[in-house]
Amino acid sequence: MDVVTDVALGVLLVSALLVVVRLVRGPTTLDRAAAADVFVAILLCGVAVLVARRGSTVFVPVLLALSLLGFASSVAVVRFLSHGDPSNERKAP
Amino acid sequence: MSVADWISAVFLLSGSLLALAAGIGMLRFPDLWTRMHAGTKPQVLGLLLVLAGVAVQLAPDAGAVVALLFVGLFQLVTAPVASHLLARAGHRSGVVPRDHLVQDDLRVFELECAAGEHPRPSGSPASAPADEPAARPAES
Repeated sequence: MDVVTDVALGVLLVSALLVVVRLVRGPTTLDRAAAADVFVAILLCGVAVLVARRGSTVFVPVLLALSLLGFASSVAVVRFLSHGDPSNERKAP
Repeated sequence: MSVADWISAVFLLSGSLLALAAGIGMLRFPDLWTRMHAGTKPQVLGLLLVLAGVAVQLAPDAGAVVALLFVGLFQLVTAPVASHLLARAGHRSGVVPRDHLVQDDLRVFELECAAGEHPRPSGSPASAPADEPAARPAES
């Protein structure tokens, strides 16, 4: 079972790195907001795999908090951005 | 490995592979909406699969399984709201190329609102939505 969780954590790490590349590159701020949203989801998956690996429920409240925090932050960023940010006027390449 | 371990392994690995697909899609797709399309996979299905795998592992502990159920439920309720706001902000700010759309109902609705086809009900406050500068009345 440790091998399975190792592989899952590795795959999640690679996908989180790909999302971080988009987070750094993203031509507009909205792309970065979408990437941050996906990053939080991948982080949730990672913490869940960690719970399965350790077999202890210590991190389950962390999952709950991360899920609600990800939603609140994403909504806050998007509401803030939709008031007209000049950097959103650029076209995506 | 027992049968529960095998089931849990399948769930965990398929959820992780969905996250990988989202990572590749976020990097490769050309604009905001297609990136969001890729990014939704780990947000809903991938996370639910991973949580199912974890729940199989923690099955004797009912409290933990209920907590995982709540995590999945919150994500199921909140992910569409955040994605809707993000997609609408992308539409309004003109980040995405609208001319690729086959049908653009939000644009049609904006044009209809500008033409006064959807008057506000008298009970609601008369202020225009603050994040739509074009619809703001001239006297403000």
